[in-house]
Amino acid sequence: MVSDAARVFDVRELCSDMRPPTDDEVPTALDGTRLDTKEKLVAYLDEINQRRAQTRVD
Amino acid sequence: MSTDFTGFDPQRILETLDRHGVEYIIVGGVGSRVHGAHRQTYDLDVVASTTAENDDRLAAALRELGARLRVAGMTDEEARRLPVVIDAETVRAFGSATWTTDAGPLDVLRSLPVPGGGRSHAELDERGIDVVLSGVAVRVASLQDIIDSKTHADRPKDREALPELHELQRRRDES
Repeated sequence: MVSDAARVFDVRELCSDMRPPTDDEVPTALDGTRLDTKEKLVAYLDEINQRRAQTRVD
Repeated sequence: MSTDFTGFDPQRILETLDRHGVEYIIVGGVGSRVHGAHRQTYDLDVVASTTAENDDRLAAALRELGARLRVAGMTDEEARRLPVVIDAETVRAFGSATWTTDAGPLDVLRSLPVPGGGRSHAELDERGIDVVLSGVAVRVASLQDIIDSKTHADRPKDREALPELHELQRRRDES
């Protein structure tokens, strides 16, 4: 439920001068580990996929 | 970074999240803008509720948006070839997931890092405000929560943004 007093914005206007994300914005694992290279990210995705496969077997 | 920025469509992102019933609260630069800041923003940052149902809803929204993970130095083509299965298992495995979607960049956090720990969606929601962005009703984190997160992040762009945010907070406290 949105309050009657909710302010209204045009989101495109709000983001009109938005710049591309900066390189310091990277995914992090749940424990806070920065996955700041393709290799680290792929290794973590492999872990997730193995965990999913194991869950299905169990 | 190879993000194609010509197709940035934040309204589509919000409408998709809304249609899938995703519970989230807006933080970061867009949140700062809602509170009156003028500094440039870089992406749409949200903290999502971490219930199992919401993880499923978020995954469905990300799939519809054609989401792929974003890392510096990786081309969009490489990102599209990553072994990512976008489901609840993947969503809940990331503390912070930097996605590029067909409608632009979307960063999804499990909690908002602040000095001394992280604030959950529920904690942020308690202090958040209602706004309507292009017809979509959303929640935006309080200015103080955004200030705390930028204080914690302490990157050059955060340090540049903080004086204006503190000034907005000071004026708010005085009024």
